[in-house]
Amino acid sequence: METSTKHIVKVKPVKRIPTRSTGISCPPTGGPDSAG
Amino acid sequence: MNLKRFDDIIAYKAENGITAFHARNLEVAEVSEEIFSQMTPIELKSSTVPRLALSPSFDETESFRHLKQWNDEQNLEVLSGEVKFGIKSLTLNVTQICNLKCTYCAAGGDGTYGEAINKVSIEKTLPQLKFFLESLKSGSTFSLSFVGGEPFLYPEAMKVIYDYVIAEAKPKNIQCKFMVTTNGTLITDKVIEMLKTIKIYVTVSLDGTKEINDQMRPAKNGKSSTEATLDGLKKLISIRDNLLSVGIAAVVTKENSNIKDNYLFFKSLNVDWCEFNYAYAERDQNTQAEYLKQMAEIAEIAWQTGGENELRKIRTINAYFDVLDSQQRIENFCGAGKSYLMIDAKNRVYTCPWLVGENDEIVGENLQLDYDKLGKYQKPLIELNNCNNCWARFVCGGGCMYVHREHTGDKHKKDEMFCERTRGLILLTILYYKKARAAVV
Repeated sequence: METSTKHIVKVKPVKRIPTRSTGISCPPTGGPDSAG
Repeated sequence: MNLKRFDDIIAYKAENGITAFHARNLEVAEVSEEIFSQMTPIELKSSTVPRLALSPSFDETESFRHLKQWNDEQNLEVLSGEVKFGIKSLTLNVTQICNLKCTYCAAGGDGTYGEAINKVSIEKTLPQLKFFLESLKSGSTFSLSFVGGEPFLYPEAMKVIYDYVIAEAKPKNIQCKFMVTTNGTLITDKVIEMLKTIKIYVTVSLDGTKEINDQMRPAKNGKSSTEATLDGLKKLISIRDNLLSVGIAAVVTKENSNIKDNYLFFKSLNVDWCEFNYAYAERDQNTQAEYLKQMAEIAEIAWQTGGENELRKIRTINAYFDVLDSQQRIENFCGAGKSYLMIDAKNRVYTCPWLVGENDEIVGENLQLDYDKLGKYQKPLIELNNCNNCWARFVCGGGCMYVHREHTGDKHKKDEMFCERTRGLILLTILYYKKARAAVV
């Protein structure tokens, strides 16, 4: 199912060159919880 | 429950439709009620794959076949998230002293990491940076982040190091990126003149309006720091054209959990972005629930006021949007020990800023690296942390080893509160990603 069906309509990503190969950069304040 | 799962697909039902996400393929879709009805309810804190409800009739329905087919599909355009060893990003403690004493400071409680160091040695730092630059191939990128302590207690070092790195990188065509994280209280005219001569991303730590920020981030002598920070921010904004960006990083705790008001305040300061980092030591479940609720509220405010552009000024959401757009799996929450290292103000090397001061965690010094110790960091974090069953694994990348260790005693044993929080933010982003990209199609 490369394309959408009546049950599943995929959205198209705006293709970009990846800007990161790891997760979110670690904020150095208050702790390393980089969920932000 | 509005959240359901079928193997590697999750779906969330809201008033305006049902949004689904394919964990391996990093695909987002709108799905039908029939599809949703055949999935199994899960909670945000759950990382296990639910057992399929045994209803033989499912197999015969068209919608179930579509769901199963999508689940089994391999999106060949999805890029691997493998990170091979090669240090291309460093953080440097320019000082290990600070003029503030933030209540939640993870750098030894006072910015010193237990060892007050006024100034990093330029004589030792330049050859150390050269050592890392020499290991990079021509055309690589290299990031250097200045932190501390408070780095603007020693701005001269930043300028000397910046000029040196640029000069060393140029013959090899290495693209350099510089960042600084500051409390913003020491942005003197001299600092502004220095900043005009370099290209740098600036993060200012600020927790909210004066009332709350003074409580969370007092000066070392107990006095107010907020006016100085706001004054510094104003000066930085005034030279924004010379800087690459100016953003605000706030820390969320039980005592400072009014994210919505803080967000509106930060917006009024006209910064390029802001972020709300949940303090890893905050264990209050209600505070975490409120955090996720208010993050959803500010996302909606951003969306309503400026669409994707405004939404992406919330840095967490911006980062997850990037992952979904680039369709590159994230297999490592951070590059610790693989692509990233931390240098303290005595030129000792660690894999993470939060390990500074822990002798057992030293992985090098000056021009020496301990490759045996670094060898333990080379597997993908989602593998080391056993994330295989989590639907958010390729957006999260396994979570923060330091946070995990602080709460479970083991870098690779996950802190479930962290995981739930992260899934919540990823789910929030997926919902807006569908809105944003549906508008494009």
